[in-house]
Amino acid sequence: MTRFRRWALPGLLAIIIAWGLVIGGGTGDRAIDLGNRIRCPKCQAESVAESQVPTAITMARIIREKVDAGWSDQQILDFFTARYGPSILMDPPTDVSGIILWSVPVAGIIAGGLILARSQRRRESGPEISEEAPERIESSPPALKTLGIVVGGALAVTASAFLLGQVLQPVADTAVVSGDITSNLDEISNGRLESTIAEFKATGVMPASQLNAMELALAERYFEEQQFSPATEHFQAVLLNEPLPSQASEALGRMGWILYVNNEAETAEVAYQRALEAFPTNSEAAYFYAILLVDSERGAEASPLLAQVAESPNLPPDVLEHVQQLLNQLGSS
Amino acid sequence: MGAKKLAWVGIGLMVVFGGFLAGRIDLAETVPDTPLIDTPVPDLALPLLESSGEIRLTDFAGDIVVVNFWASWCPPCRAEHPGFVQAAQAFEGRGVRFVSIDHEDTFDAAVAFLDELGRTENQIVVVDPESRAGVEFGIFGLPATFFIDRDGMIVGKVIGPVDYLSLISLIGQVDAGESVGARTTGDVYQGPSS
Repeated sequence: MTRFRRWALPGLLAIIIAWGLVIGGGTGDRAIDLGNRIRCPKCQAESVAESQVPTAITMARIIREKVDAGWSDQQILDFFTARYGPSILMDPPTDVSGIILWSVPVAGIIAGGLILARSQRRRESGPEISEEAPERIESSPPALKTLGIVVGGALAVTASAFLLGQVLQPVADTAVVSGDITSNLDEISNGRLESTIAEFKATGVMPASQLNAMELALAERYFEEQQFSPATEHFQAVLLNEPLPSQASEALGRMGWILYVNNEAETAEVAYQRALEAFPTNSEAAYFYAILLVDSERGAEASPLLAQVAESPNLPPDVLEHVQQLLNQLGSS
Repeated sequence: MGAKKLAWVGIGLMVVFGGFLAGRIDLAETVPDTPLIDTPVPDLALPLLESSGEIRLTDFAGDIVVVNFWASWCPPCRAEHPGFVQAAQAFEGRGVRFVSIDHEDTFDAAVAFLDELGRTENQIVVVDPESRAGVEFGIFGLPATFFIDRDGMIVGKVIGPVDYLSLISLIGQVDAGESVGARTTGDVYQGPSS
């Protein structure tokens, strides 16, 4: 009886662990078991076997078809991960952090079992009695009480630590660019600006208008260097990130020019029109648009735009000269 | 080590575990990237929505193909549709085809959607029987747009709505031989109740 009592509870724990890891995972039907291992992509928290949405039903049907066709479990899992990525699986992840995540609770249960066994052994051997140090007598609580303390305490502490972790999320380091952002941009290289923008996008802490200002500055650099592909990418990113009307107009005007030099005159015209709709006094977009119209022999439409551009303050001298040249040319024709 | 000390060690491990768990959940992505980039377009037969017949996505070798998943119950799909119609018109006869896949929708609602928001010849509207196309393209929600290059390879995916100018610039990049990769522009809708 002594040996039985010593090992009864730790043995029970071992059975529970074994059931959870091995016995609890299978129904005997391969298709259903595989369905339980694949996540419904439209549901997040349900497996394909559990969900009734059309996509999940189809995925379950595909699993059944492939099981019947002789595919192995791994081949079927690979079929879905090849299309959705590894996140489609409900299995524990195999990266380092995933292994840690899943092994700590198991380690906790094993540790609890060891504590129980030790506590039982101590109780059966009786308290230590010493004439020299009677204060060293220790009493051991009953095994069930110890189990309750360990399990209940672990659950309570885990819940508290989870909530604490949510509160104490690390604050993103946003001190990447010091001082006034727009005035310091000239001192930063393209590569540095790329990584800075990417960092701010990842943290999401910078207002869209400020991020767009940085992105426009970078796009302008690429535009001046005639690197139209990265320029387009960044102008496009501005358009997709709640731009101010002036920012949208600037991006659209420049993209219009890129389209125009790539022989996409029709779509360039649309870009210029949208640029001027967003910000009617965008003299650069008006200038680019006027050039397109003149080249398309639509001088009558170009003249008002050229007149508008000519009135713009702070126009570069060479642009002003060109505009006046075009106006003279159209006036004499 | 005594039982009490062991218990305190266990409590300490649980604190670390709980914080780690919280951090890991916070880092989880809600919309994963697609592994389909640089893979061949699926050879799917897709019935036409408004007439008999079907098309296969592999029928367009030599053309760039823009494959757009949409549904009438998807608000961002409604917002982006006019841009797709406009782009399809702009690229008609220029080696760029548009395939619009109506996903998990009803015929009447889909037709009403097109009546309201537009159709054009260069935009082939098909249905997705049993959501098989959605599975083959690994979509988690709508809208989702894929870019197929002239060699029939998937070279880009956009999760979320795409506006007209972004669409044409992405087509331009594909035409220039670039791989667009996977990018997210906004939230996706997973069903009529989303």
